[in-house]
Parts: sequence; structure tokens; C-alpha cells
Amino acid sequence: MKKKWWMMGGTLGAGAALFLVSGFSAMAGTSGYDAYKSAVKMNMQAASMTNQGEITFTDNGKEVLNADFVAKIAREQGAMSLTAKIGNGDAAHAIQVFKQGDEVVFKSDASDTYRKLELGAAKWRHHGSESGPPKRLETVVDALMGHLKDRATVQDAPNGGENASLHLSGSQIPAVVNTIGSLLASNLGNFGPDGGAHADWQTEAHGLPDIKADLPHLTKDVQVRQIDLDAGIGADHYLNHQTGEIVVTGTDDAGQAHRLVISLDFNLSGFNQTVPDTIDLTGKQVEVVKREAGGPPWHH
Amino acid sequence: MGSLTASWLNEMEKLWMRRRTKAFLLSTVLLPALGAAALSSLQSGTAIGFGLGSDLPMLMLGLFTTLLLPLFLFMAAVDSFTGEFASRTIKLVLTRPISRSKAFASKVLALAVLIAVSLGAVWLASAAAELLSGGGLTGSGLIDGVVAYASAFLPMLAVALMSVLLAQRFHNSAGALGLIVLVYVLAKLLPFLFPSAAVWSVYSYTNWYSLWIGGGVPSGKLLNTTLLLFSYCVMAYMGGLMQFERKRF
Repeated sequence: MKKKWWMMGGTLGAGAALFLVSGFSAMAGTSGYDAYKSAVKMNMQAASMTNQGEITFTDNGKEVLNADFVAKIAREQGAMSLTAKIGNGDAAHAIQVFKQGDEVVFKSDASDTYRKLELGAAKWRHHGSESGPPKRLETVVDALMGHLKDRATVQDAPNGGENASLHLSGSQIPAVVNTIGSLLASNLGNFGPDGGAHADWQTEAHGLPDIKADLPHLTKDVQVRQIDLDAGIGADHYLNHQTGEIVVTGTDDAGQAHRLVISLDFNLSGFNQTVPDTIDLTGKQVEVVKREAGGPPWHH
Repeated sequence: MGSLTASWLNEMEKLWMRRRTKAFLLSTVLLPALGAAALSSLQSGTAIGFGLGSDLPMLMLGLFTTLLLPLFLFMAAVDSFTGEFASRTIKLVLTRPISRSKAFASKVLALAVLIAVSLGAVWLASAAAELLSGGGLTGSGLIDGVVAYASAFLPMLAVALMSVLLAQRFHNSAGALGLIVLVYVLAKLLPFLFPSAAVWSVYSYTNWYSLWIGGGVPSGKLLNTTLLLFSYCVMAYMGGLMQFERKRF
């Protein structure tokens, strides 16, 4: 009788030992997710940085929208400058945006006029040393990521940094991500030439170039096929390179199959050293833009 | 061995005789069919919801392993242990020529078979529903499905064994079921407060199958989490057995 209890106790003990060993080693494994998260936090704490990037939309191999930009952001001063070139494969336009003090200045290559928008006192700007997302948000995101975190991998890079990546395809893409992604992708076409939702403020209110992207209007069998995210983390622990590729397939009303590829490529540099460009409006043709109720959402 | 088999068959029959078992098994076939019908009507009607339709087996697996199968297993474990303690039918089991450890093993075995049958039924029904509703089943999708459904067995067994462990503390079925469900809900919410709890809690592995789909997860990670779930099974089984051996009826 005693032997039986010893056996049961022994097995229970062995199970407990296995539990502790496997649990602690699961916790200790530095995943790509943790490496990426700490790099993103570093970037969010940087006082300033330069983001030189490119966003491309291709539909069945044809480039339908492309944006090249250089953004210089100084978070603490609340200043920013952006130069961008937006093209749709046939035509391209360049725009410049400056946020200096409490005003935002837009300039497009389609006109010589600088359009100025007074922002007033920005209520959302951080004061003091607090920066980055609140701790609570981070915990919630961690919990929502679930086992996706385990799919992120990390490898040492030759430059002393690390490369983190998360590649998902087919069934690996969670149903929620697939649904939201498909929904967004199917609505992209609404802003195309046939969508009818082409907002007038884009062209009239700010003189921004009117680039019509020939984005497909996906209505059937829309599915996110692939999500590839790759990040380069420098030896200084900042996230200095981020690429992303999202592949969505579906068919439009006419039954034509589309393969929409959205590619992102961002190079981040100049941490804590970037000074945004400024524009001196003296002697230039300036038009003050009034805030209107029907303006774009970021005016509010 | 003969007594174990006889007792196991007996336990299986007891489970099968319950109306809720039949209702649950019916739902494993009906829900995928209803899901496929709903999704295909959404696909043709509006532009919403189609993202789900092309992977019905995975969607159903998520639904069953997160919610329906654990809930049903809680009920089955409570019926098999607390229910029999309360109605004193456990005496009928123990007066048979069978040791307590074998009686316990036969009850757990019946639950394990129930998990395997449910997962198999959901997979077959959802794969068939997808095929019939016009979704293309690819070879790799088929393999992914089989791997995912097979790997869902281990966490479900661990969850069932934990319920057995808890159910034996009670002599009242409603109380046992209430507590087990409460523990499950709290354990599901815990990672939102303490992210590191997700590694240790068996309940955060209900969608563990997602790690097995299509490769890409380091084998060390898979081995690690497999061992963790296995250790949960061993501990919960042994803890449950010790309780069952000592219990006075």
C-alpha cells in the first residue's frame, strides 16, 4: 500500500519538476517579439528621428500607388517636416509639409502657394518626461498577441544588432487579423477612381496633388494571404529598419481576380540628433486655410 | 486489463446516455454546416465577413477549443465525478471487481475518447462544409488542418484533467461546475493583468494548435510547450488519482 503512494507521489513530483523546468525555459527564451518590443520602446523614447521610407501598392504586379517620403520628427519640440513624392505609376507629385510651432504649412509642386493652417494649442501633446504607450496598453497587447508572439523569431545580425521577423501565411494568420485586413482591403477601392468617395478637400482645401490610385474594388473572396514583417535592430538597440509586405487576394465586381501587395520599407535614423526642416514664409505667397467642419478628420 | 476495458466501456456508455453528450456531438456537425452557410451568404451579400469563410476548419477549431469543448468537458467531468459522488452511483462502480486506480483511469480514458471524437467530428464536418460551399481545400490546408486538430488534443486533455481534479473537491454538481467555469474565465483574463502568467497557465494553451500550423515556430519552443502541457496532464492526473484513492464514500 505504502509503495503505491510512493509511486504516485514520485510521479507527481516528477511532473512538478518537469513543469518548473519547461515553464522557466519557456519564459527565459528571448523571443523576437520581446526584442522587437524593446526596440520600439527605445524609438518611442527618442527625442527625435528621421524616417525615410517607401510605401508601394501593386495590383497584379502593376504599381498603382507609390509614396516615397522623408519625415523628420522632433517629438519633444512638437516639430516635424515631411517631403514626399506620391505617384501612381503614370504621374507623380511632390508635397512638403512642415509643422513648426503651432502651425502646419503645406506645399505642393502643383502650385507656388504655401497653405498655412493654425493649429492653436495642441492638447494632445505630452508634457514632462512621460513618453511611449502606457504600461496597461502594453500588457493588453501582449495578451492579445497570444501565441503569435511565439512565431516571431530573432537572429543576431552581423552589425552587432538583431533581426526580428514575423512571417505568417495562410492558416497561420488569425481569423481576426484576416477579417480586419480583408475589410480594410475591400474598402481601399472606395478611394479609387470608381469609388465615388474621392474627397474634394484633398484637392481643393489644401492644394494637395490629386493622385488617383487605380486600387481594385475587391468585393468577393477577399483574403489576407501573407503578412511578412521584418525589423532590423541596431547595436544601439534602436529599431532602424522596418519592412512589411501584406498580400491580399480577392475578386472585384467584374469577376477579375486581384493580387494586391502592400509593401512598406522604413529606414529610421538620426535618433536624438534629427532637426526637422523649417520654412521661412516671409516674402512667399501664403494662403491661410480656415478650419471647416467638413475637413479631414485630423483637423479636429 | 479486462476490468479496465469493461469499466471504460461502461463509462463511455454513461457519457453517451446523457442527452447533453448527444446534443454536443450534434453541434460539432451542425455548427460547421451553419457556419459555412452563414459565411457564404455573407460573402455573396455584403463585403463583410468573407475573410473567415475560406478557412472554416480553423475558425471552428478556434471556437470549439476556446469555448465549446472546454465547457462541455467541464460538464462531463462534473457528471463523471461530482455527479456520481452526489447520487452515490459511484458505489456501483467501486463494488465491481476493479481497483480504484483502474476505475479512475477508465473515467479519464472516456473523457479522452470524447475529446478525440469531438475534434475529429468538428474537423470532418467543417472540412466537408467548406468543400460543399465551394471553398477550395488545398493539400497544404488539409495537412495544416489535420496537424492543428491533432495537436489540439493535448491542451484539451490537460484542461479536462484539471476539471477532474477540481470536480472531486465537491459533492454538489452546480457548485463544482460554477467554480470550474469561474477558474477558467479568471485564468483567461489573468494574462491581461500579468502577461507572464500566460506561460504558466494551462488555460492559455487552448489555441496552442496555432503554433503547429505550417512550421515556422522553433522546435525548441514546440518541445518546451509540449512538455509543459504534458507535465500539467501528469500532475493533474496524479493529483486527481490521489484524491480518488483517499475518498470515503
